[in-house]
Amino acid sequence: MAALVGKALRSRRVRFWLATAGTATSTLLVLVLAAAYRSVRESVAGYAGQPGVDLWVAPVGTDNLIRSSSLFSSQLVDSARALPGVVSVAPVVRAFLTVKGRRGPEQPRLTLLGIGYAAPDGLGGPPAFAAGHAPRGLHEVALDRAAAHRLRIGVGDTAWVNGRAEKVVGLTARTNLLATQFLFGDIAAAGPASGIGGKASFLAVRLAAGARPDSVAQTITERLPDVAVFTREAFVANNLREVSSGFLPLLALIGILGVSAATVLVTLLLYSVIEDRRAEMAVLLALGAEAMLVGRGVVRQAAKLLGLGGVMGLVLAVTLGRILDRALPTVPLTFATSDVVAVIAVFVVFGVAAAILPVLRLHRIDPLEAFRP
Amino acid sequence: MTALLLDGVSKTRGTGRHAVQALRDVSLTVSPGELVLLEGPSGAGKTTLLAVAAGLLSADAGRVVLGGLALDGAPPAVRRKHRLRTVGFVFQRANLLGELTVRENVLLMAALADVPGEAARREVDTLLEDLGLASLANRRSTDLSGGEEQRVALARALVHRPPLVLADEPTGNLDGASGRVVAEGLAQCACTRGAAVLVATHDSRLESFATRRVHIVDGRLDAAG
Repeated sequence: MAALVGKALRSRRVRFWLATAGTATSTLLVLVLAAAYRSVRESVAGYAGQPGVDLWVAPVGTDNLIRSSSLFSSQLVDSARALPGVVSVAPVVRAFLTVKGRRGPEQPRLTLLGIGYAAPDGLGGPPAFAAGHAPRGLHEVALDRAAAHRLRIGVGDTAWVNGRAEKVVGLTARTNLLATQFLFGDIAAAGPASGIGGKASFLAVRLAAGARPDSVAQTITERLPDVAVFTREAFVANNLREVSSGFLPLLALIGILGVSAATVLVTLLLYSVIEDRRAEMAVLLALGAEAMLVGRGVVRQAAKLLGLGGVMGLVLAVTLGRILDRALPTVPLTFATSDVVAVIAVFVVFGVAAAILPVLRLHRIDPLEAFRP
Repeated sequence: MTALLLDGVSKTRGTGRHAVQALRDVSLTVSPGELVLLEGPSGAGKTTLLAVAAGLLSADAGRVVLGGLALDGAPPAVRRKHRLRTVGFVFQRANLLGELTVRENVLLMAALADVPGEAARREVDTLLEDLGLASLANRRSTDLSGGEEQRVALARALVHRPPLVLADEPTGNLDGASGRVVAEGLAQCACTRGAAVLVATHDSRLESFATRRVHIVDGRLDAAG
């Protein structure tokens, strides 16, 4: 009997698929916004939070990678390396660099966040590679693959970095902040390229096994002049805060508006799909069906629509992510299971609530509606 | 035993300035095997009387006894279950469920009335055969003509063998031939099955099938039924 009631309340085919498509599109929209937001955060955390670096040392007044102009002498490396609990120390210089894929005034150019480090294996290098390898010589660079895509260059090509020819040997991943991307080169080459030779923006410090980061940070602060020391977690938090003060709030706002609009749309779709069967509900009630039986039929119908729409939206989002990843990597999307679960949960809660509303109002449906011509 | 007894029933529809006294001190009995026509102009209270008789609406005053159960004061769930066992409805619009086939529309009513599966299937087959619907059994109800729809509605009203059949303008939208088939079906229901049949109608074609006619005007029956 429940199956027959469910079938009787089944939505009209076109309406059902339109509502499902609306739910799928809403899911797609929200998942993509969430993935873009997450991607930027993960890129920040990907570099600043790389596992090999336990402490970041910066000139006093500097607490993040995005905005820093102070420098200190790279000779501090030796002083830091001698401190107890420290295994290795590497200078990292950071500067914004103008990069072109080809020579000439009409060629596309980007301003990238250049990182000079002790290539190829020193601390503070690229967190991950999409292709190629780390720079091994003075005239080799690795850059974010989204930046490479925008510059229309790849591994083996030449990039013009502040007017100097550099060979691209690697494309990096998790280094796209949307507003800018990273470029990595040997610190020995960074001086001539950026004009800040012999200086460092940060020291990347690795600790001995068992050493307590807080305690070593305290020692460094006491022994080295005019430095600030951050644990990996604190440095990540500082960088996220810095990014968050920029365009991330706008992205978050767009995301919230997107979620709200999508939720309203899903709610409306479900409500209208169910309300469309009001006459059938009245007939069932007039025939003697229990309101609970009718309600269960309605909820099953709503759950089917939401489930199908959610799965379609998820598949579309993942497919879009893959397509963008290949064709347009400048828009990074990082999907997380928690986001998918949260989005579908929100839609299910609001969608089922919208579907239940007509059911709760069933007692207001006059069974005499069935008598009326 | 009478299938339906209304004794001094009054009913007001709407509230405030929109309140209308739809039934005034109505008394009527319908016995098994009878086909009673309830005639009257639009707005006279015919549909309200059927709804009160079925327990879909509660009477404001008076007594309603349906199949031996006094509906006054009975909880809604009890009224609903009793209605399922004792009443079959034929609406002016067939009100079939469009997503279901002809067979499923009839089977659903049997299921709602707790008719056991095998018995229900046998009864559905018999009714579809008797009403000339056997060849349409697997067709969706949206694909039927008006006359076919109303015959399916009649089958649905009878499938659980209710002692009382209530019909509201069952032939109102039908042409002559289709109307006659439905009228014959209702008459057979009274004669062969021994059901009490109460039909609200304007249709004079039904008069030849009626065992009795009562007239309602402004919510009042002309004479005691």
